This record gives sequence, structure tokens and C-alpha cells, in this order.
Amino acid sequence: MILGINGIIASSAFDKDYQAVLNYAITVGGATLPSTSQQIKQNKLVVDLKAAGIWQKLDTFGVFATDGNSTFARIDWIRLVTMSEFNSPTFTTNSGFKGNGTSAYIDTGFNSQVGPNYTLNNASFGYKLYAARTTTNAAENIYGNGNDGLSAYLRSSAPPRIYFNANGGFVLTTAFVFNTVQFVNVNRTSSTSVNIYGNGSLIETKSLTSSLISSSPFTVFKSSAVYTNAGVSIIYAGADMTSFAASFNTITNNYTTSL
Amino acid sequence: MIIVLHPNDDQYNALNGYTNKQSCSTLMFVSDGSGKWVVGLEVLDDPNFSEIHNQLQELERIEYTPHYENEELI
Repeated sequence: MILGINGIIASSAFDKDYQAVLNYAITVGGATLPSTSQQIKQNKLVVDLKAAGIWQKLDTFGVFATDGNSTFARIDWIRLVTMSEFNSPTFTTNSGFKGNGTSAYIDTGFNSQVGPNYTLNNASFGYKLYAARTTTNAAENIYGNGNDGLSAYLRSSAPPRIYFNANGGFVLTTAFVFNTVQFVNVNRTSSTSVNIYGNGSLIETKSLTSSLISSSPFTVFKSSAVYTNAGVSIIYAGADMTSFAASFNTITNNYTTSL
Repeated sequence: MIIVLHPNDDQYNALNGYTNKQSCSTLMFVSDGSGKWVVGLEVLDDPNFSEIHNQLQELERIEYTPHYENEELI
């Protein structure tokens, strides 16, 4: 292993886009880099996502599960910005962030109108949980832009509802359980169809006509005035990931279980 | 029962929007189900808010009132 300055492995050893994350972290005050052994694992995560064709379809990608500090954990690996945290979501090394159910959240700053991969009729967002929520509000949202009627998020109503680039929410009729600890992919595959995958397997396909993309930023743990206390390891948004759901789950699972 | 911190008007004006720029961490009071400004107790243990820790300790501790689903659902 060749160590460079600041504990970063010599740049030639890493994929250029993971190296860019480390370089960005150095320029951001307060970010503590992951251990050298974890840098290798995170580099593999990027390499594997690229080989599967997933990385190229991402617009935002947050890897909260790290042994870097909470500031490093909030770096968006695609946009190279630091996501803002409000009211102290709890950071646990190698697990991620947990809400408090009353006020804590993360604002990713990702505006899905900008994309560029996320578009009205070809879009995806998702998250990987490490802890189920214990809050029981009816309108919780773990990750999405649920701040207005034109939104993209899953809502914890009974039964759960889906909102996705459409004006209004629709009941999910089958097996999606809001509180299951899993990797969730929500995909819009056309102007009329959306689907949900859990841990790489199809849960439900639903007819839902698109209308507009919200300009509200994607947030974690927050929907309007309602908050959740779930624990989240990874978030993303980008183009439709339907054909990548299984490989995306495998790759992220390989990463989190290696920590 | 969830306990949260509640500011009076002066405390709200002094603390709301405080940001630790280095860590991109902000304190922002939110409205609970009763319309009161609140923030979770976690801010007391957050090193990003160490500069205002003493002021946060002075906030009143009250019971959090949840929001209830009232949106017209389709």
C-alpha cells in the first residue's frame, strides 16, 4: 500500500471519481477521512457501481456508513458538495445517520429538476436502512422531496402511499412494508408507471401518471413538518434503476457488510 | 413521551439559524403539532453546537406534540 499525504492512498491507486471525493474532503474544513482500509472498500464501491453501469446514472449519492466523521459522511459523491444537517441527526460510525422523530434532518440540496439523469418519466430514488423507525407518525418520509403535492417519496400512512413526480399520493396495494430494514429503490419507468424494489426484488408495480418534478430539495428524515427516526446508511437519486435493482442491492450490501 | 427544547421569543431570535459553517450544521427550530417551536435534545450533545451549548441548556423542556395526518389523500 502506498500512502500519500493526509493519509490518502496515492492517487494512482484509486478510481478518479473516488479520488475526487477524497480530494474534495480535504478542501472542506472539518471532514475527517475514512481509514485507509475503508478507503479501499469505498473505492471498490465506486468501481463496482461503474462496472455495473449504475454510477453513470446517479445524480446524487450519499454514503453515510463510514468510519470518516459525520462531515465526511455527508459528502455527495456525485455532486461533490456537503449535505447540510439540521438539529443534530445522530451519526454512528460505519452505520450512518439516524433521525430523532421531532426535528433532525439532512438537506441534500439535490434539486431533481436539475437532474440531469433524473427526469420526469425516467427517474429513481432510494435509500438503504440500517435501523427501523420507532416513531409512528402517519405521514413520515425517510428520503425524498415530500414538501409539496408534486413530490417523490414514500409515505408511512396505513397502507403506505407513493408519490413520484405526480400531483398526489396513491395507495400501495401489496407487500411494501414501510418499516422494513432494506435497500429500497423507487423507479419511474414511464409517464404512467412506477415500481418499488426491496433488497433487489420487485415488490410492486403501479400506474401513476406523471405531471411535474418538484423543485423542493431531497431531504432525509423529513416530510413537511413530520420527522422520522429511522437509520439510513446510503441514499441516491438518478435515472430509472429498474434493470439495476438487483446489482445495486448486491453492491451496496457488499459494502455495508464489509464495514 | 418525547421531551424537546422550547425557546421563548428572545431565545428563538438569538438561536434560530445558528450555523457551524465548517460542518454545515444548523440549528433550526421546527413547529410541533401544537404549533410550538421546538428542537430535539440531541442538540445538547452535538459538538457542532458547543459555542451555543450554554444557551441551549437554558431552553424550557416540554413534551413534544406529534403531527397528525390531515392531508386529503387520493
